[in-house]
Amino acid sequence: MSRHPIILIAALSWLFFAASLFAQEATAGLSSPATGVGRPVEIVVTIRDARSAEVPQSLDVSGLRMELLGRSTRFEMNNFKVTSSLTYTYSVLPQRAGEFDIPPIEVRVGNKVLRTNPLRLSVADTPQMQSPQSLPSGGSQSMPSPQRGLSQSKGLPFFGELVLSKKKAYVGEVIPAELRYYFNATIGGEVGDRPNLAGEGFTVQKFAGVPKREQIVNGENYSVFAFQTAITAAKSGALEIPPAKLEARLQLPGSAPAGFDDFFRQFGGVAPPGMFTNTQEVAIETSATALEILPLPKVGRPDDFTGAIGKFKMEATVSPKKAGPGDPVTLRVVVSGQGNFDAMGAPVLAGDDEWRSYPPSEKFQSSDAINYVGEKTYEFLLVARSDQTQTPGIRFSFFDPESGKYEFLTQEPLPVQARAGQVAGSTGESEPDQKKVVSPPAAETAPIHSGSERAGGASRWTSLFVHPTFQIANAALGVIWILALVALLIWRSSSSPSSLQRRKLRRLKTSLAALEVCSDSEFAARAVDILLVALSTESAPLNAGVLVSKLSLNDEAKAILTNLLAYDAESKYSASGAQALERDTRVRILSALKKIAV
Amino acid sequence: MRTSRLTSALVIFVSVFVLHWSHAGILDDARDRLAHGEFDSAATYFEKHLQSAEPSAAVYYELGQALQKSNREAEAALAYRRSLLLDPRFVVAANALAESNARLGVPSASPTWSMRFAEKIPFDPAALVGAIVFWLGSFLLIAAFAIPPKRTLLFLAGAALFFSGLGVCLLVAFTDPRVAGAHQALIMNQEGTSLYKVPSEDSSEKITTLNPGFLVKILSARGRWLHIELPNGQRGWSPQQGTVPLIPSA
Repeated sequence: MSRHPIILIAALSWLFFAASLFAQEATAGLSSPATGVGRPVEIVVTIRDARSAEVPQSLDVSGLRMELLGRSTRFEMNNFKVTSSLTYTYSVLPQRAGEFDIPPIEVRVGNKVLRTNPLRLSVADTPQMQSPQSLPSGGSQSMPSPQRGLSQSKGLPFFGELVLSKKKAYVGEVIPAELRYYFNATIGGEVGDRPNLAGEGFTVQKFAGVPKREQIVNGENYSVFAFQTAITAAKSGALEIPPAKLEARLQLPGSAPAGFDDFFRQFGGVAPPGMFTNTQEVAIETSATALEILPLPKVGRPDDFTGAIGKFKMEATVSPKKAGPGDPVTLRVVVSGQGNFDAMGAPVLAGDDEWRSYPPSEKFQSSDAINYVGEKTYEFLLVARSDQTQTPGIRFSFFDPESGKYEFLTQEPLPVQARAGQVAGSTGESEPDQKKVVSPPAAETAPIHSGSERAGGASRWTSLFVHPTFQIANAALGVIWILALVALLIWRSSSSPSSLQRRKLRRLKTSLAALEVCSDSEFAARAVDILLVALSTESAPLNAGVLVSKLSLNDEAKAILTNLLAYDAESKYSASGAQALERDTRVRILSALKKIAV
Repeated sequence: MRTSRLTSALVIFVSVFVLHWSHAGILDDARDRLAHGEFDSAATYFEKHLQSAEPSAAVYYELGQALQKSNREAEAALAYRRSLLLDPRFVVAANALAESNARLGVPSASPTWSMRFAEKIPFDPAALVGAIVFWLGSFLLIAAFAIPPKRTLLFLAGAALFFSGLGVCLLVAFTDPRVAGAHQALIMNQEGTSLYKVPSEDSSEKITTLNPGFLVKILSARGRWLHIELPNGQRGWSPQQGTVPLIPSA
């Protein structure tokens, strides 16, 4: 018996250790990122791995009224894996339109302060322009309040609900809808990818899943799986939307196997909730909903009405602003808002007799998941039949289900400078005689268009840069350029002062070497030549004496060189010639020359 | 020896003349048929002419006319595009292509700066002038080092010509539509073709359907599949069949 408390303590320690593996953190999420003024949404703050926490009773953001609705604790143990979390839900009621940044919410857990992630909420001005993403949990006159509608849901482990944006609509009108499936937070399991909704007399848009969220219903915490779609009625009269089924495999609370309850009971407790579950396949259904569908009124229907139902705005631009003869201009019309973009036709051009136009291209950019809100761009290609200074006007008609009337948007002609050009081969009413249009030129390069334009152009599919002749010519020029550059560098190098000096020194060394072994009769003349080269005065030998006197040599060397010059002059100009130099004198001259030459 | 040379020259002359005459004969025939409303046969003759003769913007334009009149709109669009590839300044072909695109339901590309440039400049002459100016500048720069008394003048003139020529050459290289056209193709299937995320005809992987006449850029080929890029930058795989390169293979 004494071992039982030890086992129990060990088991509890293990449970706490397992729980401590999950780090404490606080996260916040909005039930919808966008809503309208007066339409509440919820902020759900989830704190992991905490049993108690302190959160503010209200949050202060100008333009939003945010109050704490309640809290719930979730403690799960499935297959001995423990998870626990605390959930606090705030109600957010927008009081004005705009973009709101909700700062991080401070949560105190013991001595620790956690902060949630910041949030951003878009609030539209007019409730009618809201995105279906913002389908609220209640508040609209035309929508059933889930709280009210779910009043019978108290205690249910799961249930479904269809939320429609309106109960009365027109044929062809897009009705945003949200299918919500609620699962009690104590239930685990898997839910199907999408619900199944099919019936007669209406079409359903592709389902778009929204992030799972937590919601408190009748004081109990539920996980909500929601799917957005849009319903379009095909005929007038009473329309019943049948229940939409969502299949799920749920782990519903089950009883403990025989013997387990006794095990816990002997310690004075019971088995933790969620420890034992039964897996069940279930199909959760929404309730059937009735709609009243009205036909589009025939009174006041414009001739150019092309089936657009909703609320729209229109903008137009033209490019280019200046077009040459025959050049097309593009008239870009953007129809934005909310409505049946898939079924609507293009705007019509008014006063386009002087323009050649074709059915426009269409491109739709959706701002939501169900193609209900967005903008559709039409591009009209226009070619002026005669010189024009403005585009045609534009008119777009639609039916506004809010007012129950047909409305139209107009765009005045936009300024543009477009010159008329003969468009060959066109198929318009004013197409000239076919034979005249396709009249071929006399030669391939002869004029074929109004005699003013020439079909010249290239006669190859490749650029001139890859033509072999062009490449060879450029390569040859490149080689020549490199050779010229090399020659220039060599020439500049050889004519530089340092290069000349080096050559002079080499020459002097060679001459001195030859002087040492030359005969006595040649010695004086050669020595003087070397002296003149060393003094750089070969062209003015008479200056040599002056230059020698300026040399930075000792007096003896200067005297030897001066005597050398005098000796050379005597040997040249004296009739008897000079006496032969003694061996010793030759050595001294050589020594003096080496001093100035090296 | 002299007789044999004379004979060779005569043979070459006659061959060239006959070749030219035969090309001109087919072209004249094609034009005659076009003028008399025999559009199908005119198109065949134009295509026959283009198979053997040098490509010409005018002939491709006329081929486009014949094809358009034969209700072969996508083929006409291809011919007009080829005409514009050879001569981007060919306004008549540009207009015809714009109309053809409108009939095919294919959006016309908004003109970019390179397209505007291409409409104004004859590429091959511009490339030639650019190259000449570039080399002139290059040699003047060398001369500037060789002739010290006029160094500054020669250097400035050389640098100006060097960079002007280089700029023209680069501009031509970047804007010549034949360079971009080497990787472009046109969807020619009458019912259009599908673009898939992966090279498999699995309908769940389908991205969109491309109308005939749609211009795409070919990134690579794998078996009978082409990896392509749409003008909006979206990439995907499309069957090779029915996708015709903008520049015809030799």
